[in-house]
Amino acid sequence: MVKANPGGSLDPRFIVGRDELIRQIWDVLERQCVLLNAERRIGKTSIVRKMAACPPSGWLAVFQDLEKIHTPEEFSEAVYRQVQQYLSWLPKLKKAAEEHKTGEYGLNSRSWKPLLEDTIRQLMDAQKKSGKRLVMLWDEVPYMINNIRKRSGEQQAVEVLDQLRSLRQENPELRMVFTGSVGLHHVLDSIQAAQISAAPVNDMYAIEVTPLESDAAKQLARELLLGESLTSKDTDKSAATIALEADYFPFFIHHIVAGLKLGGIAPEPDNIRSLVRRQLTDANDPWELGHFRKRIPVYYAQEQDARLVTTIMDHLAGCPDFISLNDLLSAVQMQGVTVNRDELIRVLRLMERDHYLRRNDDGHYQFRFELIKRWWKLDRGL
Amino acid sequence: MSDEDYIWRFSPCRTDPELLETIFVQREALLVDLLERVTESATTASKHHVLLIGPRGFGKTHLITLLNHRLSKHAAISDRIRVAWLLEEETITSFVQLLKRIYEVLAQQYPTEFPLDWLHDLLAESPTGIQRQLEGKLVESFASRTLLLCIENLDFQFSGLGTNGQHDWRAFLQEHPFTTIIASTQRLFVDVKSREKPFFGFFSPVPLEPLSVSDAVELMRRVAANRKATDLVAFLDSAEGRSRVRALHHLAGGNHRIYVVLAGFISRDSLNELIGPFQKMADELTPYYQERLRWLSPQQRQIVEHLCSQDQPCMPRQIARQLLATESTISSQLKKLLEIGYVLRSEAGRESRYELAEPLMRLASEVKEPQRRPLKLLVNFLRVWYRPKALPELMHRAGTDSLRRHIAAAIEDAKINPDQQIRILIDAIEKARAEGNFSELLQALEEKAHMTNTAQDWFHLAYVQSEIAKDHRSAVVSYDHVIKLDPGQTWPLIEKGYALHQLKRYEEELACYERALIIDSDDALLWNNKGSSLHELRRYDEAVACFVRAVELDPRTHQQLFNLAGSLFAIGRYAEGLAQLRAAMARFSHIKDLDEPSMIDSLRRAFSVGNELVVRQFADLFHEFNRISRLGDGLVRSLAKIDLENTTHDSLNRWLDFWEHWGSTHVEMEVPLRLFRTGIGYLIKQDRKMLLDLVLSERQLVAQVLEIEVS
Repeated sequence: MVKANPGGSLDPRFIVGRDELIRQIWDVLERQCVLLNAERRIGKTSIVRKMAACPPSGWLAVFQDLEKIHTPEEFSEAVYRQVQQYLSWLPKLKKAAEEHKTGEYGLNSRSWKPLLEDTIRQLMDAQKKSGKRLVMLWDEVPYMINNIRKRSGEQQAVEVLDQLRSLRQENPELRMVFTGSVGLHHVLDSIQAAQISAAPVNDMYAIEVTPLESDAAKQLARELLLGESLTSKDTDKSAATIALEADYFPFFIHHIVAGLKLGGIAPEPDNIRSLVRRQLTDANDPWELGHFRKRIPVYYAQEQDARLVTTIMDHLAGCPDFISLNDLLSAVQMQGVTVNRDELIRVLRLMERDHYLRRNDDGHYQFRFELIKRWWKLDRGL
Repeated sequence: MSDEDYIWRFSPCRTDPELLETIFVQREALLVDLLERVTESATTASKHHVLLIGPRGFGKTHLITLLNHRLSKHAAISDRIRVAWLLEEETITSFVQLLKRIYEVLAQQYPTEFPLDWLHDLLAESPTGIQRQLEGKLVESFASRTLLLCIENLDFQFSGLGTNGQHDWRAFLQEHPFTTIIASTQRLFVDVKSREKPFFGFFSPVPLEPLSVSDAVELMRRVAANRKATDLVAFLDSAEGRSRVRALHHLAGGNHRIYVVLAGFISRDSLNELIGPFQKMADELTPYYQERLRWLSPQQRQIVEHLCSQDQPCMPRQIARQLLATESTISSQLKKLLEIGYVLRSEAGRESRYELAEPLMRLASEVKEPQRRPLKLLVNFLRVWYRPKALPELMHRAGTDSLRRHIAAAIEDAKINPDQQIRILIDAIEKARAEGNFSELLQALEEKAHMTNTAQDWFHLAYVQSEIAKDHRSAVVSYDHVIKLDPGQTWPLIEKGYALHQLKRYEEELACYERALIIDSDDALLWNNKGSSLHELRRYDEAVACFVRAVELDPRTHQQLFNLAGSLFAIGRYAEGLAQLRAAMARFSHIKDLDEPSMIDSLRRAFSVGNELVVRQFADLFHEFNRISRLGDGLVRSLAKIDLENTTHDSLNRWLDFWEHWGSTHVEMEVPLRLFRTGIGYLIKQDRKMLLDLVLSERQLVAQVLEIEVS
């Protein structure tokens, strides 16, 4: 039995509904590196933590949160320490580990690039000898790049990305997983285009972390209800309601169950719906969904783009079904927004990338998340 | 009083935890939940992070102290965790300082595991080196244990850490998940609330609820019990005691500390004894509220100061006019103040009204008032503590000029504003009624009745006691107050009689109607009710006479007609009874509330002496007037009326046979007969297993009639 734990770290044994995705990631890692995209609090850290805890045979994984890194030197040193940890797990390579560690004395004086190259070389050698491959699980990469840009300048940020790309090209066996709660594209966009020689991560396989599948979400809700000793007339029905109301986001499922427990509320479907409605309309915005509106002028710095995004969201919020590009174009033009087809397509692509929208098989558009659509309608009084 | 008995009002963590246990109210379920979270964190790789949110004095430290206390008593868990508790006075400005402080606290608690010398030797290194070593040391020390980190005033610590420090800490927690955090803060703050910040969504927020009036009474009762103040405990159990706590609640809100501070003087009537502690409390709390005002932007501060000066909730446009600002600006600032917990909003139609979330915030603005002007809070205190008519008398007893000035201001206020005590109670009654909180409604009504001592208020109380709470015993007492205050009315006697009927106190019920009939001898309802109580007392002849009188006075009402039939059956005047019943059924075909079970039981006695015909005619009447379902229901319910001591098994079996036979031609009787058959079987054998022949819902119904328990 497990208690609701919104925001806390989860025991890998209790992470529900991610086995297939994890299997897919390992599968891709056999061939190339991975870029894991996800909205914040969708559970990506839980995924990489589970990967680190239970790697398949022949693999080792080290998790590292890079948000604390501000310079290329710190990054290079972090990689060095990560590789050192890997070496320490391989008794046969103890000597190599010790040799490698002697380099620590010169850490501060060495330039970051040679240190990084040297470290990766050591890693490749060790992998060959041990037959155990290392995957470096790097969380909050966009934060780090942005930090480096701010502290050391755009050039340095670009060089770190270029260097990593070049290492991946030179070492086909090198594996890394980038994750981050801010889209890397926003950080890259903020760096002047001319300074980036080529798309720095287009050799990595992008995988998007989605909310849970329906059955997994229900299972999670059921387990949490059990863990919190919350009983209802029909547990399956209650769990299904929680899953649906949370739009299958594990974070919100945890929150709903925690809210039921905290409020001493019986987990009956009506109570669950009422709790979620209160969360969505609470002036304090406890789920911080206002972020999806507030970030529009930040993500879409040009005023006309921001206005167009808001108009598209307003229109889609009122539509029960997916909308074709042509219909969407007419609708926004009817609202007095001057936009041509190409401009609209450009903005729609960006909105997809930022998890606002999704396209169905017919290429029609609708909100990416039903929960955000519901909140948008309430918030905008539509 | 020894140290162990002293309740530290501003530093609960210094109070003996066992004493804190005894005065712990309202949050037992929350504490158990926190213990479960820490236990799960200690026994699995999951780590919970909880943020307790509540203003100062809301019992946050009390809760954390008890959490640690209970954990310390749980040997299996306490061995798996190490606790580092950073108190609210801590100032930390970087991640490495945080690590150092955690180590120092651990060193104090567990010196052999975390030697302080090790840290002292380390301090010669660079901050980066210290950080790395401390990280390594903690990771190593907690390889198989969990660190329970309790942090008070997390908002201040986050502010000190800054964004970089927060990123460093979060990265450390993510990479090395051995820490579970129980933190507290006075308000939800941007560093945990915004998606842009590293700790967004990291904590499970737990807003601490203010004390309700009932919680406050319970807290003060426990404090009084701890002080062995039995008089105070008894006083708090009285309506007057509750009323005073309610007055305090109006002034001070649901702040725990206020009640601990004021518990000692709530029962005192000496004005000088009351005012001293109140002023002292105000003096102690003023700097805190001033500090809270300083946290705000100038415009937000102005709004809060304006609300401090008002006794009623205000609309944004009223505030805007006073502050020479636009309504939209004020509305926007009010929304922010709402978010950070300074104001409360209530909706009145389309208008929103705002008031202070913490009424004692007025202390902060009052200090700016000219020195000689009476403190509004103290004037309000006098207004809520005393009825207006008591104020002039207080003036004579006031010991100081200052007090006299305050009483004079209270008297002036009483001339233009309604009685504050009553207003508070009316608000409480309306709120409880709107929320459907009947226990609170009853308590507020009781306090109001005691306070005003009017027939109307006692009647309101009695009505809710009787009709909603079904507490007929208390209702009888309340109706006695009404009768005493308004002795010339019959309606309180009727209502009291009804309550006594429910209590089966028929003699007293009869006395009520007899007394009412002296006031009004031509009231058909009174004759009918008197007849009913006489019927219950088996004085059937007298009952018949009363019902006859009632029918004479009001032949259009059904009750007395049916009742008359019932009493006629009871005294064996079956033919008259049947005739009366036929007439009543013909006239009032829709009426459902006749007492079939009593009639059927009367007829059972006729049957037992061989008068089967009258029973058949009775049953046929129900068939004729299409009321067989009522007959079936009455038959089942008549099981409760059977007097087993004077009834033989043989006669019960024959009674059953009659109904089986009569009912065999009426399909509507199938289910009632099944229940009746089982009930008779139970009465004969007195064995609950007899009921197992029925499905659960039927079993429950029969058990209810026979007043027996079934699993």
